[in-house]
Amino acid sequence: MKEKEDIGKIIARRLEQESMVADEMLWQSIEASLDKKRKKRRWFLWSILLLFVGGFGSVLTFLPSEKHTTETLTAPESHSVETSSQTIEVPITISKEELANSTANKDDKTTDNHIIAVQEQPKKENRTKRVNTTKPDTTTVVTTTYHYYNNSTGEMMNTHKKETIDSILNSEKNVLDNGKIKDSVQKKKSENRP
Amino acid sequence: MELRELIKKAKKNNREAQAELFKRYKDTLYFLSIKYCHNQEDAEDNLQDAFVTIFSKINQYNGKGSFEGWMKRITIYKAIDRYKQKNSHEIPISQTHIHEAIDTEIKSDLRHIPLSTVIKCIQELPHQYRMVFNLYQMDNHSHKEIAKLLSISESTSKSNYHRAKLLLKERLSQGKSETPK
Repeated sequence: MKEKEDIGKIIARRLEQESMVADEMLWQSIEASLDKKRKKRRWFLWSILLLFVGGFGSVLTFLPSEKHTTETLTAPESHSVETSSQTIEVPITISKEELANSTANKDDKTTDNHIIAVQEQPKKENRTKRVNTTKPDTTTVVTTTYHYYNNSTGEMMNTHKKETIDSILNSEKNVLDNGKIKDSVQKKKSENRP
Repeated sequence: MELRELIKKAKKNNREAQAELFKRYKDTLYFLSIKYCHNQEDAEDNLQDAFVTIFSKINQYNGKGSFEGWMKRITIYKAIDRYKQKNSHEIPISQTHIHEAIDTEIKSDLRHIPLSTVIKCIQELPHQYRMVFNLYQMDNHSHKEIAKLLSISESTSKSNYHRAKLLLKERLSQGKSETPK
């Protein structure tokens, strides 16, 4: 008499040594699927590559215009000159001798008289013009006007010649040296004496 | 050509090597698919999907384990995917627990039953029963693993297995009696 056994084990044992033949034609459809998959993959890789190249190209074309924008934006802050008024005060380049003379004049207590050097520029339209300082404007002609103001007489003198102002200052200096100041100093000294 | 050489060439998308691998393993994997699938057509589709995946992911095979085992796992996972896709449209089968003591034993005389009858009996099992029975009985997965693979509970896996055996016993007994002597 045969012993009873678990059905699962019996089936497993029965199927263990068996096999079935698969149709060889299946390979064709597998091959077709593989080709399709490869094409899809290639298409995907190409699209990624195109996207990358396109993105890189657009960045390259965008960069120069961005540079240009920054230049025009930063220019007004550092280089532009507002010329809404007609005259602009600019420092005068003075030689060492002239500087010594002017300091000597100051020592001579001619503080009441002021030399104002004003650089006068040709009239411009009342609008903001952006000037690039790295490239000097060679077309503009700069003329310097010297103003002399005598405080005691209230006279104002304008001239383009510096020599004229210098001669006035020298004459004033001589007058001061010889006369008024000395007298006033002597007077003060005598007053101070007991 | 040696298997290692074939795998190496197949990794480089060599069609001849891939065709040779197909020839070598098609029957084994087809028989595996037949057990897991509902019918022959389904099994052929599963085999095709499995081979496409095998050749697409052959670079992931590092040569440490058995190549046949690796291919079998892919084939089984493909069958599970197919089952899950179908199962989402079907009404779930009753999950009534069956007592372990129910007799699933039979007198061990199945040698005279034709293979096609045995296969047919397995294929005609409800999908979930068939998956559980194959995974547990044929491919030695634990109920815990089956539960994870099929997204069911462990107890459901156990009960499905016992139900499958009952049905098989019943049908094979009929088949046995129908088999001409």
